[in-house]
Amino acid sequence: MSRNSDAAVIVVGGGHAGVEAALAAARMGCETLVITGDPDRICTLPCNPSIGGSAKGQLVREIDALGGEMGRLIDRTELHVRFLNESKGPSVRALRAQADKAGYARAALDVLLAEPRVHIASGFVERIIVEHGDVRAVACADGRVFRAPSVVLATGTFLGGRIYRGEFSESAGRLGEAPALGLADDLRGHGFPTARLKTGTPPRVDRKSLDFSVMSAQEPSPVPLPFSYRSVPCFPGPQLPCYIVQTSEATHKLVRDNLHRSPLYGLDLIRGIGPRYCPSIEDKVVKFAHNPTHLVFVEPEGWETDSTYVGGFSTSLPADVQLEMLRTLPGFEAVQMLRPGYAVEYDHVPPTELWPSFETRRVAGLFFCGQLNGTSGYEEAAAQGIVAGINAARRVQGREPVLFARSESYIGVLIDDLVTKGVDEPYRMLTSRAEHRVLLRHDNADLRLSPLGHAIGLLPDEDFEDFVGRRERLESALARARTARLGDAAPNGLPAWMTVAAALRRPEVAHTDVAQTLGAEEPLAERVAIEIKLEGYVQRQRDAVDHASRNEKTLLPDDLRYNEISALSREARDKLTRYRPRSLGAASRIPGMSPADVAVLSVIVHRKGGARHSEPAPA
Amino acid sequence: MSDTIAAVATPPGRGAIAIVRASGPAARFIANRVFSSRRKLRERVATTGHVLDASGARIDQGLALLFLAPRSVTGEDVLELHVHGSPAVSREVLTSVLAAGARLAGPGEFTRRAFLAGKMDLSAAEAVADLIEAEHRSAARAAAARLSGGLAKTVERLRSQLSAVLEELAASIDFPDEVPSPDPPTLEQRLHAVMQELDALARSREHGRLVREGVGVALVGAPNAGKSSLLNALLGSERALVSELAGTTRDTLEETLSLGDVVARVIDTAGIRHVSDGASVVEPPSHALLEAAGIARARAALEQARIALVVVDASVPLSRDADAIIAETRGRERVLFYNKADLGRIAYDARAESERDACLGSVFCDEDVADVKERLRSIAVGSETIDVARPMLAAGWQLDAVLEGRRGVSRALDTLRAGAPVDLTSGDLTTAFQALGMLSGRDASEALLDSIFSRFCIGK
Ligand SMILES: Cc1cc2nc3c(=O)[nH]c(=O)nc-3n(C[C@H](O)[C@H](O)[C@H](O)COP(=O)(O)OP(=O)(O)OC[C@H]3O[C@@H](n4cnc5c(N)ncnc54)[C@H](O)[C@@H]3O)c2cc1C
Ligand SMILES: Nc1nc2c(ncn2[C@@H]2O[C@H](COP(=O)(O)OP(=O)(O)OP(=O)(O)O)[C@@H](O)[C@H]2O)c(=O)[nH]1
Ligand SMILES: [Mg+2]
Repeated sequence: MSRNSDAAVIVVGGGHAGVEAALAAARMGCETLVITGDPDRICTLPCNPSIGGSAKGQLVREIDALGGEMGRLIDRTELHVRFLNESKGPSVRALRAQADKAGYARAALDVLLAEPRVHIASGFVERIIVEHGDVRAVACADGRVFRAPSVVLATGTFLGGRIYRGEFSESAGRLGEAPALGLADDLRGHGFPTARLKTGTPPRVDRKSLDFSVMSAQEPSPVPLPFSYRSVPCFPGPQLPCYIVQTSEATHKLVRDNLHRSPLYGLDLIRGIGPRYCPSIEDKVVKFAHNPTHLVFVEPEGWETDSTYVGGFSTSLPADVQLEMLRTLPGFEAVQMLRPGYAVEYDHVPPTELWPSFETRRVAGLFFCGQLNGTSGYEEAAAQGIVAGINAARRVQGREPVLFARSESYIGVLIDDLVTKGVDEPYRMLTSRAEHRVLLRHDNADLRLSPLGHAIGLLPDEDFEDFVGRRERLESALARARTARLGDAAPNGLPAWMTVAAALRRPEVAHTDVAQTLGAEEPLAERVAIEIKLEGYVQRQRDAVDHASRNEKTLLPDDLRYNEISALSREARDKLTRYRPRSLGAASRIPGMSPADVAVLSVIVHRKGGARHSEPAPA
Repeated sequence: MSDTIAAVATPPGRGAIAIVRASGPAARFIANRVFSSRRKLRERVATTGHVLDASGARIDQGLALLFLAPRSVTGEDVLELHVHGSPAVSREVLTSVLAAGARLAGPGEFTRRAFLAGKMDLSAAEAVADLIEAEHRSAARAAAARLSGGLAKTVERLRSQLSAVLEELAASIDFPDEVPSPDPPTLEQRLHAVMQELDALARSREHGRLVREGVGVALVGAPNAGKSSLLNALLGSERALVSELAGTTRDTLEETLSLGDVVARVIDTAGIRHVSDGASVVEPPSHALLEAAGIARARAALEQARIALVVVDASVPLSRDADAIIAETRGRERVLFYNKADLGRIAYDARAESERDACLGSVFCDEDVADVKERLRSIAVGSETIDVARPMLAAGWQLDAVLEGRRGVSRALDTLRAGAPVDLTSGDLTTAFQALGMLSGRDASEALLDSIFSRFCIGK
């Protein structure tokens, strides 16, 4: 850090993205300053109280395998956890947990405070100070200026944030929190385009006012299921059920009768695009009018609070209508509404402004991550945070950015989708976005990312040693499985001479059937079983990756002057100049690039690079 | 592009020499497998030897040339086998090369590889890019042109069936609380239906080949019967040399003839006559030798063609040679044309009753020529009339795509039947889905690129 810097890395925003970014940078050796509006609200869960889920659970595992915090935070604060998609296949199995919200935020703050290189300042950043295309400092609303060679923005929904409920609307980042208006203008002043997106949250109700006896319960797992490879499996507190109820025609009629008071419909106040996968109840009733009912999920928000989350019921109708609608739900007849739902509209910067390191293309040393990039969800935010934090630190250290491949992690899919395709609705991770998902599993996140996490100085030595031990045990158990015979312990009439591996390839044989023969304990036996059962599918996928890697490996030189290549279509010239894809593969995924453009690029790169084909040795 | 492609690089049926070309990393390996010579193959040195089939038997004498990457047309290792020009030989050589590990090149794939390897200069690249661009803009039209309407519709339907399955799977995985998982038995049924249609498409390929490559027709008859004249009349242009002298045509000549919805490859041949010992001693030996070679080629052409178009001079009494050819082709698919009706019909009257397929006319009469054409067409198409609405696969790469799609669906079915979890089907279904996308020109830019280059003759 040079004399006239206040920190090596400044992180603006203390949400999920900001916290992972700050921890990563600090753990990689950078003095890191977190500037956030309200340090008491670090890592709040402003919407649903859960972490993980399909594809998101894999993201959490990946963050953990790299040396990030989200997995350990939820392991310390979960009040309900279970596996999703267990019957659908190991590649899509994912953990989801309900968090004690207050506990989660407290745990995050504790971790930040305990990290020696993390410093926290309260303040509202209004301006980014740039000199000669390099970021220099940030300036707060109160006039303070903090200098650093790398600045990470993780400001969530706060840029130009405005919340809506019925006729009521106010400028806010979240309910009761001031928005970042100055910063949004400042970014535009630096040439960053912005666009509006929208999201919403449902009302919260008092647990004591509900009759759970008429709801169907979803029970949590009876055994602890840690997200983190580094957590000891144990429940942090009592495990609570969640509940499901259904809306009825009465609910829908209330929605329809009050659409004229909706800021989305009748009032027509909200222009931002909301997530299709997370529609408001208004949207559900209007767009899926033929559905007689919709599911509503009733989830506790903590051990020490009666606040209960009404999932699937996100709405921005007026509070009085919300209450009436709630009353139509079974078991909600006497409901006490603690806080009405609302919608929030905010600015995001199109992520095509970013390099795959999350550094902006316009301002060197400035990194963007989290909801600011047009994503939605805690896990997506945290995943971007850790990447931005890593690369902000790498930049300070004068090292190459760390890049993540689509075939190696959901994080890689997330980055590539964002920076090459941009977003047209809040982006959520889905398993179907990952074409190589057989490779990107919950169980093998450590094999995929822990070596990298350790190599860049993020995953601590002792955690890495644990990982190495785990990997060795897995490998030797796999080797054993291929030679060990079932013998007398052969399950369900299988022949004794059959090897454990051969038995495991049969769908009906579970890891528990052979764990003893294998001499492997629970998590290990299961990993062995998954590796063996998926072998054929994994191999096919690897072949496909190899096949596709040619274009991925053909790098486009940074100094290519696309505007001078007349063979390219105008649109391609514009887009390539703007997005500057790193590889031919990334270029081909940019919407609007025609095959002709890709072909022309390919010709040009190959000529520039001279003969790319190695001269074979004489026969 | 790590695989090796192969194709016949010379236009079918023309020229004495055919070139079979293979490009890709396996080219040298293939050379060792299919070519035997006394001297070792060296880069850019023509080496004579024998081309072998998969069992190691000799197919033909020929010449092999090896070009090593990057100094080759495609920038990859390239093997060229120069063999005799007969389509039968080149096809056999190609088959052997494919058996040794190459795959049949898609239309224009050589050109495409050359292009992508930067083997075309920028102006050529720009020209090609323009073409691609134009094609890109009319992607839908291109797809329609490449596929008969029926096929495009079938493929599109199968694709949307697969995509429905994939969507349901994805939704149930990403939103497990809200969307139930598709149940395996129903899934199996749906996939099975798709698979059956893919099977039917694969079978339709023979039909499609007819449309694309055409039916082989050998024009045979005794010398001077008017074979070459008939070819010219059928084509409407003077391609073949005609003269009043018997023995004008010495080598075979192949031309493509459109018969409406079918294409025929008509091969004009030397007049076939029985060369009895001592009968033609008057002729100089070399001349006789030449004639014998021509006759041999004519016989070979007759053997290979599907349809025999036999021409007989009707104006003179039936010669022994004509009689022999009529007898020889009896029972085959054939058109028996008694020519020179303007001069007389002696031969016809003597024989016509016993030969039900005989027709009488003259090459100078348009109507008679049209009649011959119609007879050819109805034989070529067979009893089935060509139904344009019926899906047909024309080119080999289309079959590849169908087979790839079928493989994906069949693997997914295996997975389901084994009782494995449903998600494990999605990888294979995606592969199938993409393969069909390639077929309908809908999907990946890669596929579109391929379709563009299908305009270029392969192996150019
Ligand atoms: C009402 C609402 C509904 C939501 N609904 C859903 C949903 O249905 N599904 C879903 O997946 N996700 C939803 N989310 C999104 C989810 O909460 C976010 O994706 C996630 O929290 C984003 O994390 P982040 O770190 O990017 O930003 P945030 O968690 O928003 O954190 C931003 C942080 O930056 C600070 N900050 C902002 N501007 C400044 C500034 N100028 N100076 C200093 N500090 C600043 C803030 O104080 C805050 O600490 C919702 C969010 C809200 C607010
Ligand atoms: N009058 C008349 N003459 C014909 C007719 N068809 C062909 N001839 C003539 O017959 C002669 C031989 O015709 P070609 O077409 O060369 O016969 P060919 O069968 O190809 O002969 P070879 O190639 O020598 O075997 C030519 O002089 C033609 O003009 C016909 O229908 N009527
Ligand atoms: Mg002739």
